[in-house]
Amino acid sequence: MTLQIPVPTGPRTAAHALNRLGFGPRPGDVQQVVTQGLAAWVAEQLSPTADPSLDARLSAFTTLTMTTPEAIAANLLDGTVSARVASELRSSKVIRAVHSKNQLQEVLVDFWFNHLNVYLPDAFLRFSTTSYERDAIRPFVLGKFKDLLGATANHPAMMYYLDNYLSQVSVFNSSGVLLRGLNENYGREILELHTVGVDAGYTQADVYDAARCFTGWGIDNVNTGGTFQYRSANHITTAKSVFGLSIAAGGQKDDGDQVIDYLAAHPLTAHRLCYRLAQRLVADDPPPALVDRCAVAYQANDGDLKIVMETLISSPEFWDDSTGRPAKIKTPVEYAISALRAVNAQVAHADSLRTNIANMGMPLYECIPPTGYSNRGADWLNPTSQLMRINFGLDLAAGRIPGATVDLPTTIRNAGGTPEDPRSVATVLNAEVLGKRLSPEALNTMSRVAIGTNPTPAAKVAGLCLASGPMQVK
Amino acid sequence: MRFDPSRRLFVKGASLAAVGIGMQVSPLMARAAEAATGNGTLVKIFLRGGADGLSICVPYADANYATLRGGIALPNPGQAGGVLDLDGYFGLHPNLAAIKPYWDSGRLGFVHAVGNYALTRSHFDAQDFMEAGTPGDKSTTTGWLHRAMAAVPGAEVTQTVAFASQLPRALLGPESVLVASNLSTFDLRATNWRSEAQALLRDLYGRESGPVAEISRDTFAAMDVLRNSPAFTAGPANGAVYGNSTIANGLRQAAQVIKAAIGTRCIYINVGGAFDTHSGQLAAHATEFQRIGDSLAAFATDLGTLLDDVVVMVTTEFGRTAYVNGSAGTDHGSAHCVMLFGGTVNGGQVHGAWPGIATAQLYQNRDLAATTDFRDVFAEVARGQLGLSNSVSLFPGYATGTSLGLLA
Repeated sequence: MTLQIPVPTGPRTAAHALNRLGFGPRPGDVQQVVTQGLAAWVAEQLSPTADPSLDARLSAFTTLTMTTPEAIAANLLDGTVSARVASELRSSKVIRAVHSKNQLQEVLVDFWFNHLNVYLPDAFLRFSTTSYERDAIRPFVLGKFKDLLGATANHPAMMYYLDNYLSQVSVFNSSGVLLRGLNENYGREILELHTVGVDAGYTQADVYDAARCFTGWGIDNVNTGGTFQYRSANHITTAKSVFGLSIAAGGQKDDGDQVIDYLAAHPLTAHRLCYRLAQRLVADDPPPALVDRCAVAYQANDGDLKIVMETLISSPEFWDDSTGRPAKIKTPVEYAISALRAVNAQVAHADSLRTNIANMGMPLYECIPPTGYSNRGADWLNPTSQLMRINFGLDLAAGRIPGATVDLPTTIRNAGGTPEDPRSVATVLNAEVLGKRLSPEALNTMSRVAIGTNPTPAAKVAGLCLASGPMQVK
Repeated sequence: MRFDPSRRLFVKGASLAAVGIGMQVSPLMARAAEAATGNGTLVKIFLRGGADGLSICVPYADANYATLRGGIALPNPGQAGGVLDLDGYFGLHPNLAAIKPYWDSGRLGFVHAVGNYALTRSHFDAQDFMEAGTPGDKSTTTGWLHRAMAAVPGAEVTQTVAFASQLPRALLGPESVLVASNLSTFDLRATNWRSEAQALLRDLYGRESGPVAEISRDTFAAMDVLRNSPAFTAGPANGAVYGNSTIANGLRQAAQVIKAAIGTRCIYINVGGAFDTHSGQLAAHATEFQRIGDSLAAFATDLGTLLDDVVVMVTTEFGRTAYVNGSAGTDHGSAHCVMLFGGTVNGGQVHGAWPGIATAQLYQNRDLAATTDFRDVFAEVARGQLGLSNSVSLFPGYATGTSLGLLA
């Protein structure tokens, strides 16, 4: 697959690319993509490179490089480590999304983490989610899906979250009471959520056997250890049949490895993953032809996710922003990050931002069910979420969000505007970050703000821009 | 049925007009309020994750129960941590003790073995099918509760209130729903320029079209209603004490909504607790059921006689395996148990045909079998509580069965 951008480079297509393949434009970004050319920018996004300035922003967060056993050990010595690990993970997510030059990588890490969701606040996951994202998700988002799926299955965070570390051959006490045995949670969800999907046609028997294939896959010790461990004695060694895959009796850990490779290569997996990617990046109800094209590319290339992305981005459907298709409404995370970028906020931490985002309905790393958060924008539209978006936008522009520094006068001046003039502020932000989707009447309304000092006219107008309808869609 | 979207537009226009003239109530809104006043309120609580009905309303006297549940079987009545006897066969989970008096006075009842095998054992599918009201059919675009509320006269933005972070699938449709998490903070912040910001934002959204602008207009309409009622700043009545959990916060605010008399007929509370008990079931239930029981009891105390017009229906997407699994938990099952609480409930009894829990009586040798379709329960409660005629189609393609006698 050779990347071929089917549209000309221009402010509109550049803004579209920044909105869909990234977390939205900062002032100046559209012009930069226009200057660089769309094809070159997209190619850069598909091959992430080192980002020293991002690394510098994250350098104080020392738990980001810890292994799970290191984090657990540190917390045994100092009980505040647990909270710091979670806080630094949340902060790093927001800082990466706002400041990374590899925007597509951050979008995809967000997407694939959510597809293979785990829930941070749950005991062992407080110490292992950092490693899960860093070691099992991030390295594979532009690689092969079977490697991504395998990495999550071989990670203690997933084994804990879906109870597989408890699943084993049955053990009874002397009175015949079951003490330990099979737990079908992971066996079910790898089929239903991670790969072929609930409509694939598998049966309860397939679920049982999938669970049996993964018996023995677990964790050395959730309290004092933290590494993946396979226990041969806990494995059920009978013959198994998982949705058409026959596994001979006598197998060991490779029973599960076979299931991973088989499910990753399944055509229903190809279609479902491509559907979900397109739902995130293109439309709530993605065009079937686009999904089919991506699924064919997936199948022809051993589940190579970079080739799938190239296929998607080379498709005219990806670039279609005509009015015939409903606008894609941003999720709370997408909205918050795009708002931070829109006013060129400098993010130091997310200790307050996490509350803002949670209030919009999408707490970071805290989706309890394994389904992950919805990729449909429309699912996130409701009065409370909207009110929280409005309040966040107004607070952010007024510099009232701790951890997010906003220098509007400089930002507006750098973009050629006059921060003291409301109409100029509105016009600059409309062109730089709103894709000129504000109507002339909306610009007139914003230009009427009362001139004062707290908030300043620039803060008021920027707040209204962030609260406006066009800012809620990508 | 298809809902006529033009009704929504008309209604939204009307409420905006009311706002525009300084919160004077338009004739339309007044009529709507009148139609809603004095009628029942339906409170629907959804426990996400597949709550184990066999642990809520426990068939403790069935000899199979202890065998099936092994190490996680609840002790008999009278023993430490034992269930509270209900009728000699079923017992109430001990952590639900706070609502036992309501069983005794006939305002708490259960429907057991409720389900539908097409719901599947997938959380997502089961929730989706149940809330759409069409098991096995994913093409249904509206929610069952939306179809019910669309037939209820009145159209204020507060007619349906959902305490949830997203619009529940059951309420999906063109009618507006006030989705809220915290009513006391449902206000525009805009520090130092609140009234100016509000006027400008109303102006902006008033000019825009599309779903974002529509929701924004709903948001401001709801803000007007909430900020004009003292009920939202008053504490609980009659010495009621709520804990701090999702269900407690939901019921506390549900009581505020009911006491505020703002035309609310349907309240939905989404509860995402630790109900998916694949492991550690005993401890998880102790925590979650304590919250449920205590919150419902506080809600009843808080409402006093207002409870007479209220029915709380507590449901989940599926029950769990009748057998204990290998991790002191239970896996995804089939039939579950619906809890009914409130003034008009025909309580003090366990409704529905009991299928038994001997191995041969289990569905696929593992789950409590379903004997009552969930749609029969939902329809009977919604029709009774919302005053819907039988001509309102709540569940397309399904003819509900004979009355279960759930409401007095």
